[in-house]
Amino acid sequence: MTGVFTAGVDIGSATTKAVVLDAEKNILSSVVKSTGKSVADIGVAVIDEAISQAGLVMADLYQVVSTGYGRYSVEGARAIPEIICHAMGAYTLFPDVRTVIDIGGQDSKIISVIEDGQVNDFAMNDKCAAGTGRYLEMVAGIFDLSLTEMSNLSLNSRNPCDISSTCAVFAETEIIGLRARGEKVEELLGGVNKALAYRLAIMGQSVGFRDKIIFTGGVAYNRGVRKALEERLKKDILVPPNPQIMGALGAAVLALYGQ
Amino acid sequence: MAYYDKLFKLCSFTPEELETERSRIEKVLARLEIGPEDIDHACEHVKANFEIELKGVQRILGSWLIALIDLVLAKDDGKKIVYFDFPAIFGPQWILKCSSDDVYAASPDTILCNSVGQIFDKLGPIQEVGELNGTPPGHGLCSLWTVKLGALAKGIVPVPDVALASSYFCDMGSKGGDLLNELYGVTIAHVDNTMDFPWGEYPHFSQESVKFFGSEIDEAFKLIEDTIDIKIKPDAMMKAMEIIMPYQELVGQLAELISSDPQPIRTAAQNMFTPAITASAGRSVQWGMQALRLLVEETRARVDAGFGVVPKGSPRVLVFVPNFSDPGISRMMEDCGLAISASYVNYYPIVQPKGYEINPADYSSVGEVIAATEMLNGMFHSTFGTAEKFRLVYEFAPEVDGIILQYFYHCRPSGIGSHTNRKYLQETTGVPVLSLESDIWDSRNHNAESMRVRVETFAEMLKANKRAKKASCE
Repeated sequence: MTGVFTAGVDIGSATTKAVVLDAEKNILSSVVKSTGKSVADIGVAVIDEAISQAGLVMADLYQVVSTGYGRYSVEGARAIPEIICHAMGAYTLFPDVRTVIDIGGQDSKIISVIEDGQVNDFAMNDKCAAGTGRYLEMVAGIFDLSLTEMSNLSLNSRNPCDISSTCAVFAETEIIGLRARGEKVEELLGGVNKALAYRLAIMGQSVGFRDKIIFTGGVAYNRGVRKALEERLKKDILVPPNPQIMGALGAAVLALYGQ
Repeated sequence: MAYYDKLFKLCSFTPEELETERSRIEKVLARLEIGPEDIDHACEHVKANFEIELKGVQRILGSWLIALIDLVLAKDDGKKIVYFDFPAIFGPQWILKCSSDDVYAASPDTILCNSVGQIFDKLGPIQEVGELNGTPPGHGLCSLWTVKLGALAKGIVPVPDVALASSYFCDMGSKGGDLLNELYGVTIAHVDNTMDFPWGEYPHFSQESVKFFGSEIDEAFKLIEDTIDIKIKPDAMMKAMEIIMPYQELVGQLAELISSDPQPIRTAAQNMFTPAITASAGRSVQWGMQALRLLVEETRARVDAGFGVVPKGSPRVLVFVPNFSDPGISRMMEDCGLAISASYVNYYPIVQPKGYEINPADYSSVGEVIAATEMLNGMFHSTFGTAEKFRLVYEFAPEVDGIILQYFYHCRPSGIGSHTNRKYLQETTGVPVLSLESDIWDSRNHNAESMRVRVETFAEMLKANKRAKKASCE
């Protein structure tokens, strides 16, 4: 096939994503897979699959940009940190984006984006895992729910519990204790979302939450978290159709720009 | 040839120096439980993180090894031992040293971080014992105290005769002093003052504060004199300044050379010079002076040759404070394409607010001179003092594109000001400020990969800013 094509690969702690683009930034294919044991293998595997889905071969690609915590494990790819890629991915789909809230498996970020898709400020969780996808996975495990079931159930919450501890490990103890006292599951899940939204709001206060706000990362699929964030920030938050691939999309766009 | 010779030679020890020190080195390595594998690791660690081909770098590493030897063997040497804590009040150790050769005055934790941490990469076993002996993990307690308590409990460093404990910068100084007294019966000379100065006051400060703070320092000196039976000499301060000033002048020369574009040497070794003169008053400072002279010349040669460790035109950052136990952190920042053109730690003794110079003749005691000097340093005056002094350093440092403002979860004074100081610096300097959580004394307390994501992103931001600025000029 002729033309300029690029690929972006985002190797995260839980999932690895790849996107193939043409020169007009049209998404030709995208792939999401569990990261698994080998970051090097999964990086190559998702790129291969995405290229194949797009009807291309590796030699057709102008450049590959890798991002995410496994970004240095993809041979031949240009590594760019994920904060830059998430901003560019969101900007590509929504040029008027000014804030990206990204919640992935092991970290969460508030990114301030300027007119050309560049980052001009950001905040990221430090050592604490509360407020990340892992936190929600742990909560889902307590109730033996899928992440989708947890998201749907939490939307029924009317009086969310106060989950005072935002430490992911101690929150588990607290949730188990509240459940034993007879608190309803939906109110507990509503409380988890509320605690997560509070933590994100505090973390991002120095960066600010300017409109338009785009919510990306795997946790963006959770409608309960989005609702809690909107209530906390008193702002509308937009979730793109495929929020998980935003980093890979941004990486593929940056690959179009070369070095 | 002994198994450790290669490390000491790597760190500038001549064959004669090695023979002179041999029995002392062996005692120290035995107390630190450092064997052949640890020496192999230390050699690799030093080669990977320092520009060991530079003689000045070799010598500053050697100076920290000498500092370690003299610390561990201070009791064996029959010294009267005085420890002081952070904040290391600039001067008392030198005044004591210049009053009596029998005194060994040092900040043991600073020495251990810079030697056992930076060179041997083996602080972990000491820190773990410290956590078992007074600073349990997860309590947000000072990492320096963890190192000190661990080294005392393991018998690596001797129990002091007296320790200087201050409470005005952080509560850990006084509470840690209580712990030393409780565990080891150490006499504690407390120095109180307050950091509760109004926002916006610095660089002004009231003379009543200086008088109170000065009297506390004078009282502490008196207690030290009585406890270890020495007399502080009237000319000790002057003698101390004769040693400190030329050293600081060379630190300033080196800092100025390093701020060249391209950055001529990596900053991991540069960061070891200021702590060297604040951590002890021993012979390691003579080695430090030799190292400074060598490194100034070597750096000048690189500047003249246009040699850079990062590409010319790289974004230039001013960092608040470098890492004092892990040289890999500054290297990581440089590897992300940032030129570390200045650090607060290397500039704060040099840069002073205009019109506020200290004239010793204006004060009635040694304590008052030290007190006024400390308060003028900003950091120990108030949270605002820290921010404003940083801004003054920013003004002094040439062409800074961004600021990296580290704060430490395990250090309440730095943690509490992290957001207000960031806001203040962003508003007053107009350059981006990255607030970066780290722990300069204990690398177990931060996630290197996560830190790299932040620093890389910040570097990309600054590069984009530079490109935009260049495009707008064209």
